[in-house]
Amino acid sequence: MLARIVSTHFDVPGMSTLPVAKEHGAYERIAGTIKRDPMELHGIICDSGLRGKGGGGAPAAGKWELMYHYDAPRYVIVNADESEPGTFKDRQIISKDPHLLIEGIILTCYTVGAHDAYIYIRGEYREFADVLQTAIDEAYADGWLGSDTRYGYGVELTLHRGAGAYICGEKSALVESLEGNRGHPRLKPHNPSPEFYFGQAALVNNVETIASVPYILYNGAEAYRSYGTEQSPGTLLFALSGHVERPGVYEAAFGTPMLEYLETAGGGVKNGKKLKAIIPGGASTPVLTAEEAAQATLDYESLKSLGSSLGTGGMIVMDETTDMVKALKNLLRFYHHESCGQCTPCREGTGWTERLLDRFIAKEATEEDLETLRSVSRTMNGKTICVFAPAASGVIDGFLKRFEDEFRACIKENA
Amino acid sequence: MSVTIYVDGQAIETEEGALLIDVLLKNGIAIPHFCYHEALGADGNCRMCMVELKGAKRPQIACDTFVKDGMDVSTQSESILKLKREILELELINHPVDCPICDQAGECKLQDYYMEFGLYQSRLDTPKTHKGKHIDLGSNVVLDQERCVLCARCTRFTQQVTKTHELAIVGRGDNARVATAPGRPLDNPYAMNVVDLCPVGALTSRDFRFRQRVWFLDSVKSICHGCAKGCNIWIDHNRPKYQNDRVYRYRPRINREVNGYFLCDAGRLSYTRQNEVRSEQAYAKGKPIDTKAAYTGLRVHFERRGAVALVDASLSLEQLAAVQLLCSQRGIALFGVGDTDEQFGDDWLRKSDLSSNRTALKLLGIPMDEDARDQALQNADTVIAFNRPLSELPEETPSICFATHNFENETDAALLVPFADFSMDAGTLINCDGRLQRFERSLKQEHEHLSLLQWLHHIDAAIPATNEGVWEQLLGSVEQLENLSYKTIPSEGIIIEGAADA
Repeated sequence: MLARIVSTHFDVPGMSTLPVAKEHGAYERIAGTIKRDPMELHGIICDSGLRGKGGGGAPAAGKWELMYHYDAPRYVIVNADESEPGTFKDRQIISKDPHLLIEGIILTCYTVGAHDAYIYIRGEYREFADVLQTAIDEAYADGWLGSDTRYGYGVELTLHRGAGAYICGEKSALVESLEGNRGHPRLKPHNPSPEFYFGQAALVNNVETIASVPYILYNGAEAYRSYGTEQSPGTLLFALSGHVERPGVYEAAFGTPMLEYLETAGGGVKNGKKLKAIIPGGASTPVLTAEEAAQATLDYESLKSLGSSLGTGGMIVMDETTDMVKALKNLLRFYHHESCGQCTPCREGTGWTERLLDRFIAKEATEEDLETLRSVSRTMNGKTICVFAPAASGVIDGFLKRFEDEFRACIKENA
Repeated sequence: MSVTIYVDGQAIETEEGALLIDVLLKNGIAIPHFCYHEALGADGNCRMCMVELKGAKRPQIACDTFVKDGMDVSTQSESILKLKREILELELINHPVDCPICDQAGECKLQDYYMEFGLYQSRLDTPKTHKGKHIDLGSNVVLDQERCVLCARCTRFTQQVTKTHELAIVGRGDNARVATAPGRPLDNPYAMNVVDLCPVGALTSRDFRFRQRVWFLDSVKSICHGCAKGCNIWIDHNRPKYQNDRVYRYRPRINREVNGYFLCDAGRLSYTRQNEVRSEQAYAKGKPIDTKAAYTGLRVHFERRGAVALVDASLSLEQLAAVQLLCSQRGIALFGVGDTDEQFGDDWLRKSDLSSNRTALKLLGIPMDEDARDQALQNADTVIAFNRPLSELPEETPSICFATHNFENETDAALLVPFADFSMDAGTLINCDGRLQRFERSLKQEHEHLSLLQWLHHIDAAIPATNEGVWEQLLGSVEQLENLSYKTIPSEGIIIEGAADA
């Protein structure tokens, strides 16, 4: 079921500019909303069941609630370091409707009691950063941002461009990077806690999460919950790439059957070929076979039950001609290239597994290589600071479990 | 709050909230680790210190686990041993495994852990990554990036401790490596500590590498004599057959009360002085004389009236007390002389007072007043110098020099007597904070040097010939040292109340 909550104005020409955005209601309802108590607004977010849209899918309200336990200054940091292969939804918001994001940031800042916000944008998103910066400048000039705003609550917003590391999309690495350090994920806290930016509590949320906030606060939790499922309420900017007739970003309610979405939004598999596999939510989610995809609905619970996860909802579609060994090699090259190199299992494991794949592609692999691949993947799982290596491990295991025959066919004796 | 935890079935009493790896290390439980260091804290990157906690879903790193009452820890279960082997295997897949030509061999954690947890047949037959070799980082530190396990101890040292930020990790994944910024070498007075911190052969000292295999070295507890701080050191030395003993390096010895885990480069490199050519030969006016003749000469000179003695403020407390006794018995005016360099000091381990025992002079009441000293020297008939150079003495006055070094400059002395320097002797020092510390004798030479106490004992049998004797006969009467004896000084030293501010 296609829907439009965040993408309502994506098709409006010139929507990234302030005059057009204002024609379509941007910033209109801020003043009325911030007359309400922040805790009341937090209650609405809580009731809406909004889940983080960066890939983890944790309830947003829980993260926000933690902020109230810490003294000011508090910070809001928007994670726009979108670098997951197959994921290109945030840049749509940034380039098509940046004022929606800014509005979301203002409302979020007010709700959690922050006056300073940062957007950490992927370094390669140069042109989108330019669009966003222009929008921020417009918002400052028109009194929507700054210490003295039209609605009487100061919000300073700074756009920061990353330097090209995927790992800086991991929230603690992002904060490290924003502080001016090398983008290394931090050791995880032992109790629930927010991130800390220069020692002060910071809320780190994905672009789309923040961009969903205005709709929820203006229309109420129930309106948001009218989309999606009980446990995965609302919508997501799902995306299609790979062997699809019409690749792109199409917003849909959670719970939409995966293949129905592929047909209605993407026009089905390219050139009428047969579907072989779908990576459901960005490269880091385990691959699904066509049979599994047929059972899947686009929500966190369904994909979890199939041994994968919804991730960012960026689906990579592979048709019957796809060589799964080469597909895995392609993914592992990415993990090898992007491992930050901090923890031993990830730093060394991503490289080793990629080099092992070369032997499969050359059809020179041995039975032991397959076992080595499995055991290295096991060592990478659950033994590192962040979930990068476990994700890579899940990808390897997903391919080996579902397409083992293709890997066995690359073993020398069998070839 | 005191709690009990169980490690491999063994009950251990500890404090709630203590860091598990600290508790394990303190209780002598072997827990492999690269990145954790007591002075630098946990970084959590090497993953070698993984343990099993009963009730936890997956293995946890001990360097980021805080003790709770009743915690049940396993460091030796089959799955943990397997995990350590697997992580070690990953550490080594891009390592050149060039132990035979690596200077760290023998004190390398990778080697130790491989022997303990590894011992597997290599299954690696894909190519290794290649990185920079023998890179000169500056300050005597040489980097081999291929041997590095990226534990980040060195970079954390320059970030957290010296705050000079010369070292950083650049690149990602298995291409990550330690490096300096172009044109910004490692350059701080404590730089060589990164060599000690490095658990593997990635960082080696240009000064020490390839000079000696570490398994030939003996280590003796000593105190650096470079300044008034009294940093604790290991003297690593070796005496080949039929040759003189030789010091190869100083390493910091942990003393949380003084220098922590570190040592400044100037102090570290001051070991070379202990290898400078020393003579056991006594001289009279530049002519070699035998020991017996020297004794006779000394007895004669010490009987003369109007003698003034200068004593170096770096001599040991025992030497100072013996000199003081001898002088007072013979009516010789005694003055202490020290060295200072205002440029040298900082707010950490380096002190502008370059004499290692000035506090002891204050304690014993040996005057250091310059005006009184100069006046006494002008009127002196004979000058006796205990390890002060001849150049400091009035030219025309006959002088007797007791010296550890630099005899070639002292040939004009009426009598030149060599005595053993601190590496060939034992003793105690009181540092700038009033902390009394003992150092042991490390070097044994082919021809034995007489110690200063032995020389003085020959001049006057009332002077004890040993440090213990000095403590029993002389230092017992010093009020602040009342309840101490030479052998009972604690290993971390002991503060002598009021000594530093006397």
